[in-house]
Amino acid sequence: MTFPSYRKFLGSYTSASERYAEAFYGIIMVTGCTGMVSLGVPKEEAGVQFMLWTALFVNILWGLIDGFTVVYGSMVDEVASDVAVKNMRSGKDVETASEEVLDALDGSLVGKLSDQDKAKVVEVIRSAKSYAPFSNKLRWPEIKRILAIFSIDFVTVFPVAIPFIFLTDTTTAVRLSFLIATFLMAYLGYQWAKYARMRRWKIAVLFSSFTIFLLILSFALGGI
Amino acid sequence: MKLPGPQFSSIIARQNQVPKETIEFVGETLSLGDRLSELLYGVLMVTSISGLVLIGEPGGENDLYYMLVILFITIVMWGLLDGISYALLSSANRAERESLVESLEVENDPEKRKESIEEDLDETLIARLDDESKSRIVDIINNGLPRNAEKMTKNKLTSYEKDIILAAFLLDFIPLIILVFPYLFFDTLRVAALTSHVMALIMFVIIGYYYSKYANLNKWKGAFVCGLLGLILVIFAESTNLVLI
Repeated sequence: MTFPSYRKFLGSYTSASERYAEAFYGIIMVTGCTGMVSLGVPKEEAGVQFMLWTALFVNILWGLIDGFTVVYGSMVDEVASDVAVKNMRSGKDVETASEEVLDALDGSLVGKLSDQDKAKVVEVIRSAKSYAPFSNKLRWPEIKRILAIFSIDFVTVFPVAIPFIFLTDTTTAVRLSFLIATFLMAYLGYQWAKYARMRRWKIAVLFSSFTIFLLILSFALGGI
Repeated sequence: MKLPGPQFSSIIARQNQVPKETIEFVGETLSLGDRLSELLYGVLMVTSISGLVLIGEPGGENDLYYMLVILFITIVMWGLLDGISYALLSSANRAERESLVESLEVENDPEKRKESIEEDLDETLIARLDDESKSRIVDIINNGLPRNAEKMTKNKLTSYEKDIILAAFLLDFIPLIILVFPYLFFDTLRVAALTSHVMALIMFVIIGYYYSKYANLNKWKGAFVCGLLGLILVIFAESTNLVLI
């Protein structure tokens, strides 16, 4: 798969904000787990290869779990919405069901409407001729979505793990890895905030401070 | 059994009020899918972090305190990071919707305007309605969207998004409270870690069961898959000598 087609693949199965969030989790996972390993492992036993494999393993597992939880979590929410729609249409606890339906639609353009228009939307759903329940099967598009999320977590291991590939001294590699992660987090925070129209530098500083805090923590607890 | 006097029941009722309010708060802030995911992340975090720290050669009583401190700090840190990323995700989605509203405002072609609205509704429950109802809702949105509204220049976290941080943090903390028990009652770190990891495995199975139950899937299949993920984690621990007694 070439880079443009990979980007297209990611674009088709994840939203921009999801990609930022996944990259965030990926970097934090590598940094967190290498920091934790450096707390417990004697230097002579750890070795850079050990760090690299640990980082890879943790991110592979995390990527899979994250991918599955995103897909299955949204399935749970879709089924919950179905129950609310069904209750509303059958006249069972209409008020609560209507609120739940509006909650489920809040992230869409419906959330921008006035209360009066929202009530009209609810009425259309209630009186609709038909409503097809959510089909909760793991099909190829869902699997591709899991793979897209997994790939982001997996790819983010590499920039942070570069020192473990090219260096031989564990301490230097871990410190350099933290440094790379700090810059990456700042960049990610800046881009994410730009996308979300928030204060870019504030979020960049906040994000990089997470890895700096992890570094200080590892030092304080006797690691690295 | 009936309680002896009203004052006792009111004390108990007051004590029960706090967890009840907390549960209600978490329930109102995070969806069911998000709540289950957060619990799973919490179990995963406690298990993997306790495993990673165990790679060394621990064994003494001090290591137990050391592990408790690390677990506590990690979960606090993870809870905050997770909550913040959740809140930012929600805030970014809001900004995304604002961009869509702004682009619709300048769109002169009514057909393209409707297409964009339909596309936004495509991933919602509205997509599952019959065509006529869908088109009625598209019309309601088309006519009801605010015109010439003030543009969003700077986006800030809303109070709801701040609540998300707290709710995610609280949910991540639950697995720590459960899985930390063995570290409080066992003398050696390895026995405590092994017990904690077995408990985590059971929690993986339970969460998988409920995940599938609420997603209308095969419950036992879900429990098996989640348990398998937990088992991989424990096997990883075994293969790197993490939890051997």
